[in-house]
Amino acid sequence: MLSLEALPLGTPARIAAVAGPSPFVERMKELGLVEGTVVTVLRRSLFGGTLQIRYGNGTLAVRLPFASAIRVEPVSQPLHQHEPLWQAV
Amino acid sequence: MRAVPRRNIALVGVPNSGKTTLFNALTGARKKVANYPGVTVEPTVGVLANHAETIALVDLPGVYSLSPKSSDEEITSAALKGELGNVPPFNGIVLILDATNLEKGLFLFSQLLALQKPMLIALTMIDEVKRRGATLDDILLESRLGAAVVPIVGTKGIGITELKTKLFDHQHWRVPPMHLPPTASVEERIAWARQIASEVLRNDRFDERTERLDRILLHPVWGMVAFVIVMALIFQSIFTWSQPLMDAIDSGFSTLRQWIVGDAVAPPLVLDFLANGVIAGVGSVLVFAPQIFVLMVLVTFLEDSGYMARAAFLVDRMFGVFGLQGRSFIPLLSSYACAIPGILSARMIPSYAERMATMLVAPLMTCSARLPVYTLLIAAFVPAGTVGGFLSLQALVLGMLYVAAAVVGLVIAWLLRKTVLADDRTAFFIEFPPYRLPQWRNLLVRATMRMQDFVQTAGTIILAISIVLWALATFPRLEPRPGMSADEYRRAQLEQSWAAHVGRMVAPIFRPMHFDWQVTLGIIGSFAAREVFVSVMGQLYAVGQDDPASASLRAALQQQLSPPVAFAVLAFYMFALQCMSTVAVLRRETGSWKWTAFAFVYMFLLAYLAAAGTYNIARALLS
Repeated sequence: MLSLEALPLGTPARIAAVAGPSPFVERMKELGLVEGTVVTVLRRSLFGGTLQIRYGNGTLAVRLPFASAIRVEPVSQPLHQHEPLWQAV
Repeated sequence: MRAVPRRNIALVGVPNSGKTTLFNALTGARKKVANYPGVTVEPTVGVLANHAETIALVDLPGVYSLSPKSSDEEITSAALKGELGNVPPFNGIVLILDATNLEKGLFLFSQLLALQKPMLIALTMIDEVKRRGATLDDILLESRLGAAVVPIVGTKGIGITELKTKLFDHQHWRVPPMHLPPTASVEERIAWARQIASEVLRNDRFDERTERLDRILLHPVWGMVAFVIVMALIFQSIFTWSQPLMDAIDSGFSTLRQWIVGDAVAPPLVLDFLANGVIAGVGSVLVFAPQIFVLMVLVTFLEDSGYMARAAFLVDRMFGVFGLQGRSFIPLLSSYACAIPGILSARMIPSYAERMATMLVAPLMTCSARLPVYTLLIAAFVPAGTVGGFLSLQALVLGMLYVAAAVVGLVIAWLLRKTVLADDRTAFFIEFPPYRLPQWRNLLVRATMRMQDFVQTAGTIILAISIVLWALATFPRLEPRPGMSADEYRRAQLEQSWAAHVGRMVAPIFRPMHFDWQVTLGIIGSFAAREVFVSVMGQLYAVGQDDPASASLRAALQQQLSPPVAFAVLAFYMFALQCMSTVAVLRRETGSWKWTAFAFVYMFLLAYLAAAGTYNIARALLS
């Protein structure tokens, strides 16, 4: 298990846990970043402060101290092209 | 005539769901700002009517859920639950479901169920998901949700009429069944939303066009190049597109004033009041309208096109250090032209603390009204030589004033976010909507609304203050002596006016920096607008000269002020909130006189300390 910050760019990973202050955790979940959702880090902003991540059919930028509170497990199997990313096993 | 029944309907949706665009399409121009007590972002109310009843449609701030994480979300949540003071309960809810962002919308729907209100669903952006190869079954969605669904293609106006008809047709309003127990967890609700989304939306995938554009616009090099070009265009357009109109308004009102007072040395009081009190006041309100309109069109364009989120992402880190965020950039940049449109554009910042901090430091940016004061004093007191043989010393000083203002502004923002605006519920994410072409009609309607709102709310305050300033300079009235020229009369009148009395009275406050009563009078007068300082100096010292480039005014100032005092005045104008229009706009946009007073006082203290420090340093160095 590693933090989202440590996840190499372009590597799909499944969310294992979201830690941090409760309004933050709740909002991340409301945005669909719940356990089991598959996310990919697309890019980092200039100076590395913010991560752009993709999940489902959309993207979101998360600031770093918060992004590192999202713990992920890299997905070993390749994803199917037409399967929505969050459903992939 | 019998009273027409009236229903209150709430328009609800997640942020970026095209809610306000739909609201404008539904209600046209007939709307006003809702009078909700004590809120910073006031919902807008639009009225629709047919022969049988009236519908008050309330555009509530966008929310992700009903458990609020920000003060804007609190408003929506409290209003929907009927807990917001004197706001009447809603008879029904129109939920906007953005087909490109279905999961989040359905999650919100699952929470709205608990309110047990009749609902109507507006399904937007269906053309967009189709374009990216997906199929969308709105009939299935309707039966799965248990609420009427109206598909809408905003760009083509499809569905708007149908939605309007259904708004009035009571049989389409249904209270949807409780699909989930009220105690369901966030995880369970998300799972439910995903289930529904996967049933009604097939083969949806990430938008390829958006991905391609992101690869360029978020690229570390090309993205920054694009960012600089876009921001330079915005900054330039505030000047080039609005300056001709502003000049026209300015000269139009001067001509009108001139025509009313004629060339009498002392015009009759009524005419003087009309020309220099009322008309001058109205003119100083309207002169901001072009800038506001232009900037609001541009900002709405960037927001609706999806680029604003990308621009915010690019500079988010830099502003995050100071407790601000990426969206603070445009308000602060625009404030270099004028703080009025700058502060108005801060409304796009989604989190309360960062929005307030941005607005409270925006007036510190070097606006164009400071330039006449700066150029006059620099030309008069900074030697014309060069540094290192090529860099003009005067230009260097001017440049330093610009840079120092930004640095101080960011430091103050950081301090505010550590103290009075410390809020840990702050924004920690930016949502990226897909790129799309904005609708021109929406841009024009939104910009017009903001402009009207400024004229009505801030404009009233500006007019009142300018009439007070007029009275201070006009009373007690002096009878002109025979043979007196108009310039001589104006000087004599000003010197014995209440304004001059106040100047003499408060001058001791400025003792540490040796401002005399004339400079103090200039500072008081320039509360109308900073550049008025130059014309007050002109009236007092150089008989009528108010052009900052005037050689006689420059010479007069060199005689009247010592260099340390002149530099102290420069330092004072760098920081002081000497602008009634900014005060009025802060009152409007922060929603409180308390924050407005706070801004005025902290900037005054900053200006005062800077002026005193500058005076003493300059005196020590120059003696």
